[in-house]
Amino acid sequence: MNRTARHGSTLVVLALLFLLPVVVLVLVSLAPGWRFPDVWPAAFSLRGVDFFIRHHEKILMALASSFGFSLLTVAATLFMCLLPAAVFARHRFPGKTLLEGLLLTPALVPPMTFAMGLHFIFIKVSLADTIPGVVLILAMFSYPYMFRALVAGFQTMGEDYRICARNLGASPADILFRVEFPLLVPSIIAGGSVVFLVAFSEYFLVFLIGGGSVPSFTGTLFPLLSSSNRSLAAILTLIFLFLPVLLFVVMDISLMRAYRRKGMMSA
Amino acid sequence: MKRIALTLMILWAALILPVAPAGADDTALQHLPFEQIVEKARGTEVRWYMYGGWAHVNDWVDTHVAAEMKKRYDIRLVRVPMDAGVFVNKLLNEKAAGKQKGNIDLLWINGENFKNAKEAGLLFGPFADTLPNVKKYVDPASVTHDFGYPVEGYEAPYGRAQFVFEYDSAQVTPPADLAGLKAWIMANPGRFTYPQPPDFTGSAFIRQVFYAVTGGHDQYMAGWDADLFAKKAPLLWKWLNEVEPYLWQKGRTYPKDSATLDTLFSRGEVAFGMSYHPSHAQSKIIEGSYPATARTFVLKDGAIFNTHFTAIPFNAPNKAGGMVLANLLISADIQLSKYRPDQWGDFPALDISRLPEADQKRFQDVDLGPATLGSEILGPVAVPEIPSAYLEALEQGWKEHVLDK
Repeated sequence: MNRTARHGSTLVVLALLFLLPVVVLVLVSLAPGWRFPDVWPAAFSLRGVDFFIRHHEKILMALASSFGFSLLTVAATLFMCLLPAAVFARHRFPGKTLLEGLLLTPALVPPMTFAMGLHFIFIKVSLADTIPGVVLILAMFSYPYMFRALVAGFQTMGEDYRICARNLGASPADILFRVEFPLLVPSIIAGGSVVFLVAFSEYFLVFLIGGGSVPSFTGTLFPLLSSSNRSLAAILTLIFLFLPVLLFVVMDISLMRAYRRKGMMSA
Repeated sequence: MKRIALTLMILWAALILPVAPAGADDTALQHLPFEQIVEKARGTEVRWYMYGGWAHVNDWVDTHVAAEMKKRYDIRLVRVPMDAGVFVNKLLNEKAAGKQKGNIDLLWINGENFKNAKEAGLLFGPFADTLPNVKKYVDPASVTHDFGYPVEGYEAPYGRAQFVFEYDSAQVTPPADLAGLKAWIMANPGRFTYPQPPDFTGSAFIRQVFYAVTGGHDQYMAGWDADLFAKKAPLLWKWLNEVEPYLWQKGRTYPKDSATLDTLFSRGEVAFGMSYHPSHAQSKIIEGSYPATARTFVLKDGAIFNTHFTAIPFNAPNKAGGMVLANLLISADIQLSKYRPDQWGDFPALDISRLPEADQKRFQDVDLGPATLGSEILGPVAVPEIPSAYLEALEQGWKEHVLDK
């Protein structure tokens, strides 16, 4: 009894924190003229929805592009971090703490500080205004999230599986891809989620390096957010919110299934 | 070790080696008859970089202008939303890195961004005077200068705007002049504010006050005069600081841009909005953001107007396409559709009296809507923009003498 009551109040708080703003967004998207002191909008209009429907091709295209380069960024950071993370989790060497600190700095300094200089270099090596350029710059400042998650993953996993597999005659590649990689999936998901969100919501870097040739959802959304068209901004924000949530739900369900099938988790 | 050294050397070489300079193609383009330019551009893609914060303008470009470009010239128009300051920076970087083939074909630009771009050699030109529609319909005297800076054919006129105030006629009666506005602000604390310069609209507001409290615009038209500025600017700071305690939030903070002011006005938090587009209020009524009783007014002391332009970057991959688009934008059909408040409501940059009579009639028949003032009211109070050196000094001075004082 006591427990259900406590759950109830938790749910109320969560609903207030997460659902109420969404309700407000939905209302604003349908009532751009909603103004103080009206508690409920006085008039509804479908102009924002109408604009969205007329431009859905362009907006969805931008959304697909953002989704695509964000996933590629996750893959790039994974590639960059897998082996360094293994070394950091397993070995001690002089200057390790210092090096680890240095490796984490891109997440701490504002991207502005290095982006302008990198833009110049990217133009020189013809990476500016291309998707590989955008993926690379995003990976360069979001990899610390992946790195941290992987180091933690390797540490949790310990050395036993690897030693065991080696004793059974597995090659280093086999150990990495067939033993360690599956065990690391939870860490990859954790790090990858953060990297995905960072890449997906980045505006400035995509804008600068993509130069308008790489469409992005934030590039479509931000000018409208700073304009006074509140209903359109609300609609796009809802989409912005919906896509990552959808991705996480799909990922969560498919992971659960995979684990259950392998019997790695009790049903 | 050797390999690392080699990689570094290659990188270094890539960074310092100059890229081949642009060919003679560009100069040829400036002397080609326009029909041949059109032929060159047919079937290509034109990328137009422009401010993207106005949904109705985006809409108009994506549907109307894009359809006309496709129909008349079989050119695919791609609109890319990017602020003018950002693309000027992008071009500066590309220039410095020697990139001769960019990805921008046309820019929507004016004022200090144009000046900075032209001075840094970021623009292709002169091209504007070779465009047939510019030759036929534009009064050359009206486009010689952009914020006091000579245009010299490096940008083609595209639209005209004039500063107006907005109010809700169901709530307040607007003041007639600047003195009246000051009295109103002091009598109604917390109900007036202006966007923080260097926001485009807020900056225009303080320029208007500057003209009004220092005795008119004529004295500034000759160009930058440091002594004059030092003598006159304190009068502006005094006026602004006198009203500051009576502003929204007691003047401790200002709306960061004109869109924020629009929102404050649409929610009824402040009594006056302002816009550099005379038909902005009408568009907002149609959009449903402003009450149907919203109207606009100008102060007797003057209302600044300016012309906005399109320009072509030095490294545009499709300069011919950019010229075709710039020419189409200043055609009677496009200017007319742009003029209609349900499309955009931007004022035409061409001289209507130079049009054939049937077209003149079409312009006169446009219903601007009840919230937009006619040219009989806007015309007499129109005052030109200040040279951009003053503009920059005013924006800096505002921060020092009003915001941070």
